[in-house]
Amino acid sequence: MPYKPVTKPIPFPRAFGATSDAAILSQAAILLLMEPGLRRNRVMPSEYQTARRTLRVPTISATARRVKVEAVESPLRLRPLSPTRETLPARRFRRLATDLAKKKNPLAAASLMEACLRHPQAIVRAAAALSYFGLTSEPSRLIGILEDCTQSDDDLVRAVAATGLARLAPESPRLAELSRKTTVASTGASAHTSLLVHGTWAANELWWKPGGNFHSYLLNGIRPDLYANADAFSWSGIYSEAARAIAAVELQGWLAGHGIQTPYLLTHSHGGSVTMLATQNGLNTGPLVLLSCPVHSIYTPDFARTGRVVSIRVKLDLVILADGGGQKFSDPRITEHILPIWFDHSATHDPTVWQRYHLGSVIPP
Amino acid sequence: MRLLLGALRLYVYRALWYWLCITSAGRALVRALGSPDENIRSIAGILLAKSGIRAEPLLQEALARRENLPTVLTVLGSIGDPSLIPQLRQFADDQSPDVAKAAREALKVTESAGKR
Repeated sequence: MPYKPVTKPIPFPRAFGATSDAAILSQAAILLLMEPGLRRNRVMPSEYQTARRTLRVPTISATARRVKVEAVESPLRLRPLSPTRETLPARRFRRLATDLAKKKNPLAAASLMEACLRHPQAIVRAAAALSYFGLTSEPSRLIGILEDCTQSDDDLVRAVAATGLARLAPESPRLAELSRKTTVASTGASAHTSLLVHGTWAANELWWKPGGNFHSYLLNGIRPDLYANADAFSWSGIYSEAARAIAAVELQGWLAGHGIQTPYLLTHSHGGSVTMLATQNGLNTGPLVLLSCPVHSIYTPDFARTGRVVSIRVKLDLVILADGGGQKFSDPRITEHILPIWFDHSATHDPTVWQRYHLGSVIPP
Repeated sequence: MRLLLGALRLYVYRALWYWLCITSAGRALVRALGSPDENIRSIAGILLAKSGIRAEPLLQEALARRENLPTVLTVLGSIGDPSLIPQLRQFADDQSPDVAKAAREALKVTESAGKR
């Protein structure tokens, strides 16, 4: 049965002392927000910072050293992870969370995460496995937990576990199985699949990924056929012509590998350059939506291979100014739509801007 | 207006560092890669990438501090200097998947540029 929607999340450490749906999902969120990789990445989206404050996620002092499994398992009297899963009672998590709230060190964090690998709820086990990967001395043990969680009946658990696997063990055969399943399911509609292509510097941004705010906005109304599996297309986001040329070839390969013909492409920034280059290389596409795309003479679509092309942009985009590209396409075959917004390169992938300016009706059907 | 002022500040930093060799201004530009504003991060990245090998010492400092790692690696990939390949390789198996991926992508682009 799916978890009940949470209107009031429970902060750390109190969440670990309860067993309600709100407490379980709060525990999972706290563990995910504790992930060392996320903390090290200083480009932490503001929504994460707000969530960290709301959930009072403990900040653990940084260390380059991983915590040895035996340093955690022995004091907690935990059995090594095995296919016959050990399940701990709720009071153990409460005690370890209280301990972490007092000590805020890697050993206390590792103790809570190690224990949570034996949590009765799969969503907490998956979150712990994902978060613990960068901290434990034996991260390979955690792949099995994530693979196991992808078998869950719950969509949320499967999504968290599959996303974790895609990041930590993209070679996992379980991920390939999941991907095959969804590809087969979507083959019938492949001719009409939409795809979101991010721009420069954005490979690690969340907005374009399945579950990200812009992706979710498009999927839940504007483009229900938007590709939403964990292995969504991504390119390096490197700022060079060579990188875009490689990305154009990779995009063609990715589409061919997924059996998607004539995709409806929504692109941001130089993601548009990548797709236009791909059409020059022979890719056939449906409509092409260019969001805040810099204008460079070498990046023009092969109009014989694309559907309608629409460019949506703001006035005097500062990032395009730094890029040195033009702001306006002069080719009459590209329909320009200029928003009454100044400077902001990211406004064109902001769901509130799309709602306010009814951009769903501006793009081709 | 805040975005405009933020962008102008980056151009000033870049001018102070690039033309007057004021290293602290260059470091401020590298720090801007970690700005919460996507526009500021992008402009800082473009200004550093366009500075080419002149930006490498600043970016190498950031690598040593593990500051804004995936983005710094992406900027180094944008510069595409083949002499940085050994350094990029060190991060290709980093424990952070985002860092490792950024390093591998930077390697791929740099190596392909070196072959041409």
